[in-house]
Amino acid sequence: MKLRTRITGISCLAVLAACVAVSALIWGVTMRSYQNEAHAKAWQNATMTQSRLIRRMEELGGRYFNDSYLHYFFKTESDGYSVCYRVQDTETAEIYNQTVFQLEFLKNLNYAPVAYSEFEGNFDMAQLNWEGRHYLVFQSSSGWDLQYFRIEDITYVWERMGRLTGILVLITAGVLLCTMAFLSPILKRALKPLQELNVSARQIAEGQYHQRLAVSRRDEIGQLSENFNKMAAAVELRTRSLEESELKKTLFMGNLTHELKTPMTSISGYAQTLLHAKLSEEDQKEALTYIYQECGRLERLSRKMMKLLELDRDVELALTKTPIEDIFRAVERACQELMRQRQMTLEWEEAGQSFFVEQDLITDAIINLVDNAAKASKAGGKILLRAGADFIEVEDFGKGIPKEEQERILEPFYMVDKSRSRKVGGAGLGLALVVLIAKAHHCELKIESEVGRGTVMRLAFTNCLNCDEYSM
Amino acid sequence: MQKSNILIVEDEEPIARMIAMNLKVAGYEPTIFQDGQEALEALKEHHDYGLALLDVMLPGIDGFALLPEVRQYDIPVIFLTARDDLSSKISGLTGGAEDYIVKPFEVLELLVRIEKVLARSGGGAQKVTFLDMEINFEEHSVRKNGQEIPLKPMEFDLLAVLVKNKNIAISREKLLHLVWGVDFMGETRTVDVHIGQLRKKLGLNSHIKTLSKVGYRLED
Repeated sequence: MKLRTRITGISCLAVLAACVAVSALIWGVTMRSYQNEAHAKAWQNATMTQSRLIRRMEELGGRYFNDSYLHYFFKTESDGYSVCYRVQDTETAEIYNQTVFQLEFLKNLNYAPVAYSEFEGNFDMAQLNWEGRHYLVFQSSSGWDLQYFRIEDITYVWERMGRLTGILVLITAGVLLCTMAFLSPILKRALKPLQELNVSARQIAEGQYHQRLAVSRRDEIGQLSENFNKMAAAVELRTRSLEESELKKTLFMGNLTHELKTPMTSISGYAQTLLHAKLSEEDQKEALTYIYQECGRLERLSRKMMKLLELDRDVELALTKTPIEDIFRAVERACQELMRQRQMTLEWEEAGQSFFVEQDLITDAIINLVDNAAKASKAGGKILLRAGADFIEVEDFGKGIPKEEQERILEPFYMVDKSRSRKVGGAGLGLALVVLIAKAHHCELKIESEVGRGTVMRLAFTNCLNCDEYSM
Repeated sequence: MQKSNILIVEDEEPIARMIAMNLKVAGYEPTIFQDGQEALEALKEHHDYGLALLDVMLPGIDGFALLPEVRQYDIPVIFLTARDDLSSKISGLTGGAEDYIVKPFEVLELLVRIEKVLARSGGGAQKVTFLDMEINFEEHSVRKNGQEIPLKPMEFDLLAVLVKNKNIAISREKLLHLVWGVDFMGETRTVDVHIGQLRKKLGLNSHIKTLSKVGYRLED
């Protein structure tokens, strides 16, 4: 709103200045031409009277040419603006004077010689302002003893200029009004998007991040709106991802609390039981065993949490070229006990590939995958490790993961079968850890699974930094 | 209906076993299920329980869903859960549960609450025989070998608490709280004096054990 007023004001000022300048120019030029015209006309009048007088005198040849004749001559000219004196030596005699001016006054005006090439004659000219009117006074400097003055009224020039000034002022005012009348609605239309922008920006500031502007213009305001929309989209995306991560964090904390509370309930419960209840030796032993077992569970949980926290810090890993065989051997060593317990076998297929990885982490990830595979398999089953040119995968032939669960199992603390997983010592953090390790290696964890047939968990290296195709 | 039979549906084996261990010591008969669905199937066959302890988050069928099924057999329910948000509590209690206990909980608190719920549902025993004594909670009387022993009211209440939580040690503070009530500003010495009276009057010298730093425990 304020901007509109300002632009209108500035524009009007500019228009006014232009109008004034043009008016002044017109005024000046017109004034000069009027003045010239009036001067010429006055001069012509004076000259004509003078030349008639001279012709008359030549016709008469000096006869009857006395003061009364001159008086008569000027009277017949019916010219109220001529003044004639005879000057002889020091005496002057008035011959003809219909004006209020005395000879002395007229003689002492500020004369300057003028000459117009197209007219004959020889006059000095002076300007005279008398009672609000403008006059030109011509003084003949003929060689005779006659002193002839001709007074011409040129007030009409000023009158005309006055009218012109009025007209110019009117035109200027009209132009200003028109400017305002045109500019105001145009500006209103032009600035409307700014207002919308303003409203939207406020709404976004208030938290309505879905707000967008309808862009239909190609000018700067259109670009601004477009960029504004882009900004709003970015803000919305960022906010949503923040909200999501916040929600994830809350969920994570909730799950963590639950995971902590469960073993704590057991530990504290058994400790209280041991303290307060009269137990048989057998029961005491059982209580202590459970306390020990649940402490182990807490320890495993804290270890995994530490690892998750470490990996969550977006540190660039130092990747080294590692033969896949080394990794598989390390996995086999680590899983030996688990395989023995569950009477399972671990086999692997590789073709001497090498990967650029952080060996400990990737081994950890594969151990976690094997752990999961073992949990999903029946006792006596088989787990297969396989390496390709750009992937490492772990396959089991267990019960598989239902489609709708496949996304969720990557969430921390999620377990397909809670009670069963617990019995085999899970906390639901394994896969979350694998995902983080994969992310740190710029690779993806892909799940292919069919219920009842088994699961393939694949670490797919999309970044060729990790693969070594020449070693094959 | 056998009131001392208690159903435990809890998927965390250590917790279920811990509760069962305490219940057994206190004279109840606990039965454990670790899966909601299994518990439901078993209830159809056998539903002679005085009380059910249900975990909310269960595999198979969760505690809230199990609640109406259990209530159908007129078994009072106490929820056990790690979720202590208000909405879970409300939906548990409005659904017909008698009580709601948040993990981690105190074992004694669980026992006291079980006892309260049992008393409310009219399942608390009127008469209990302990060693050579017959304790009648309604008449507030104790007979030793058929002969009535006069006890002061507070002495009787203390005996009742000990008998109901037999084989479990209770701290002096807890006894003060349970017998004399929340508002009682007395000292723990009061408990010691009354315990001494019980030992003397009922000849329980060897049965009421003093456990240092823990409290008193009535053993049979």
